[in-house]
Amino acid sequence: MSRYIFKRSLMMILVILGVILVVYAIMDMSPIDPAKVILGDSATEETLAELRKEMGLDDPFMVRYFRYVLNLLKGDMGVSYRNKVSVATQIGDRLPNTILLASCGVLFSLIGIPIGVATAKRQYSTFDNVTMVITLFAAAAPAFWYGLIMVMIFSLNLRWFPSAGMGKGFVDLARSLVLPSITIGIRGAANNARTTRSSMLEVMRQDYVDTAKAKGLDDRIITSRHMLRNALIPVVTVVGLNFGVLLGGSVLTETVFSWPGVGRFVVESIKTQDIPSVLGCVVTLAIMFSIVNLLVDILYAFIDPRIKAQYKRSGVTKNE
Amino acid sequence: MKKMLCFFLSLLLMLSVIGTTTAQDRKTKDTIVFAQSADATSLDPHAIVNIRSFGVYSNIYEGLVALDADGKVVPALATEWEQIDDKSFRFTLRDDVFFHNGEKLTSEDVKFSFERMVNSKIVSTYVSFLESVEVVDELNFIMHMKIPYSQLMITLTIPCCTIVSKKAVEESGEAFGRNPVGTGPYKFVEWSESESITLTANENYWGEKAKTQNLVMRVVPEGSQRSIMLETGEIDVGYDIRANDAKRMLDEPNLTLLHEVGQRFSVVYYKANSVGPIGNPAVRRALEYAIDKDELMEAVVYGFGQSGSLYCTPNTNGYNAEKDIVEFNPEKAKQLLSEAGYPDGFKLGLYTQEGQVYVEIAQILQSQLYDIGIEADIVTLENNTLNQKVYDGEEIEMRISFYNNLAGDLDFAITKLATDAYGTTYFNEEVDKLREKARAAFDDAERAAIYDKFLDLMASDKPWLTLYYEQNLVGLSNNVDGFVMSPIGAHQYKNVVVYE
Repeated sequence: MSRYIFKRSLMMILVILGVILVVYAIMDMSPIDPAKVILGDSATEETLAELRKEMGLDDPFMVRYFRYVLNLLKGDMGVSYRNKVSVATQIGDRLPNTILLASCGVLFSLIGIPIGVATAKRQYSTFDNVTMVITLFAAAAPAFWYGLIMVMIFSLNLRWFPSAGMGKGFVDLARSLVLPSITIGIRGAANNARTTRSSMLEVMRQDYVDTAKAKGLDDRIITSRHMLRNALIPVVTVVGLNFGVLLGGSVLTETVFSWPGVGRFVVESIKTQDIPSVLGCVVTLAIMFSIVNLLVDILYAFIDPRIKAQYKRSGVTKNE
Repeated sequence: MKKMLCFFLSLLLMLSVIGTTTAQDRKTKDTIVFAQSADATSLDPHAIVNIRSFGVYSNIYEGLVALDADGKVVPALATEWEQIDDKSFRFTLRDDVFFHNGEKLTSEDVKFSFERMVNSKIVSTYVSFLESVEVVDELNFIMHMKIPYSQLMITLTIPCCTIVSKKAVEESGEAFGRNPVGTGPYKFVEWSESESITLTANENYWGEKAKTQNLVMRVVPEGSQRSIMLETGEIDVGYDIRANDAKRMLDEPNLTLLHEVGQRFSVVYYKANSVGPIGNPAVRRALEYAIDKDELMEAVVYGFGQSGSLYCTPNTNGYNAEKDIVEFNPEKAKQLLSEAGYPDGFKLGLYTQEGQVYVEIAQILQSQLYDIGIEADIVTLENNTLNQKVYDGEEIEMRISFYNNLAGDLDFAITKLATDAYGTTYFNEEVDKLREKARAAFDDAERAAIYDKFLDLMASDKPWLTLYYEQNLVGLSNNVDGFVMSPIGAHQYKNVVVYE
């Protein structure tokens, strides 16, 4: 198992190096001139040239790329063109906010699992049909739309929750988390419900479920231990992917709720052509996504002993 | 019956008296919260010139002089000044000004600040006229200029030309933008990235102290969200209200919408040195009549603007209402076009950057140009790519943009049209001469006459096509009192109170 994790970690480093190379190359090919971004349109050719030289922008591509990677290893993501503040500090300030929101969103999305189980158990009933239509709708509508509708209802009319911002202190923070968490979690909840339902329906038709029934086991035990545990593998994949995506910062939700997270930082950086910040964000997100993927793979082993055995045997391959 | 009426009338009178006394004694809040669409970039006035930043730091720093509500230059940190000759001014500082770190303001700080501006790659363009600052004594100094520069006083009111504490800058270095120290009515407390900036009243302020203890700027990127937060009372003042929310806000009984023309206007830059038809001033003059600017302004900003034709807005020094002629006359446009040699019209590229407002303007222009026989091909490009193409001298016949005149003086627009302006396509040495003359004209009337000459020259050459002057839209809760709009968005909170 530890060998498997070690191998996966090594692969992760390669993936991240690849990501940096691709993003760095794309940024380099873009028509953005960092000197002009910093100095503005009114700068003269001489000052621009001077700054380019100062920043080492005249060096060949590979020299700049390796310099960036070397600095990155030291934890230095460079300094923002926009406000001269270290990129690592800026990301560090916002990342906990995004992780908090993403975690709450994923927690909320877990309500999809019991809903999925309940609908699978009553397949083709009115409850099943109505729930599936609702989840289809919930999965299809864009997050910012939910956000705005919820703000209209719960902030503007009922005045239950603040409409934007991140509260300070436990109570205010919890109150300010409710609407954005539901907003980013609701699509995940719908997807979880649909995945759980189809996965459960598949498992329900397995022979070992019939065996369990024949043994006279309690229905609840059959559902929770025999069906759900086996049906959870695809659900964990979906939840994990969703968590990875949400960690990337849900730009629209963060914008609608003025949440000071990484998503908004990426967009602001792109808008202001702040290349070090964009690069820093992409690298951070690539690392986060890789870690979440690795954690999901490890989680499989705990849910399904068969996968654990496989990990032990091969050390590299995994069963999805 | 009469008795009853008397009783009710007296009761009503009593209640109204009670009503007024409570209004007078209304409690005020200790914090004003205002929201803007993006976070400040830096609170170092010499490091950044953008509205989101000086919207905050205008309350932390002060200049030597300031603008009053009527746009007149009044003393601030300098009590008096006199012109020694064409190129030098002598200033006297107030004797009772202390920075937020407790240091006394002296001529050394002023010298240091202006040298910092000259050396700042971003701000230097605003003080390019400055030769040096000569310290006479602790409170007196002389500003020496490279050229006679009559717009000196108005330039000194720009938010980035404010005075910083020499000691604080030397202590903080690069981090000064996060640890600002000025002399203003508010001092810096805390900055939560992308979230809020908190300031508190400066108890040692030399003038009348801030009426509200705390000032908080909250970052709320979504326009409709700022309107909602005004309604829920989460914020007291909301900047950059979107035009489509503004109409609704006018009907909202608890909110006030302030809308006044600022110093930003929507403009189309021509490639004035084009070898094609657009390089011909007669064609550019014809286009002035082809555009229904009122309709365009109504469609794009829902009427929150003013159609115009000059290169500065009505509250800029140098504006002349008599010369601001807007006439929509497609027949005349067609006639002028055929006189210029294009009776059947022609084709051209209409370039714009991405963004809803830009694209809407492009589409309306396209349809209106089509009516006089000009086929405009809309090309939407990323802003930098577009700018690069302009600087590379590519054939960008018409380019939609906005021009913001921070200084409030026509001189800055003239500079952008001078032959030495970066990326310009209009080369007329007459503009350079007029700029030089206006700068040397210390008499207001004389300078106004020169500016009029410039406007006449522009009316005949038309290197730009002005569409409309934009209004600044600020939403206020009705509990807010004392808020005065700044045309460039550098709103001051010293005299603002919010009632409970």
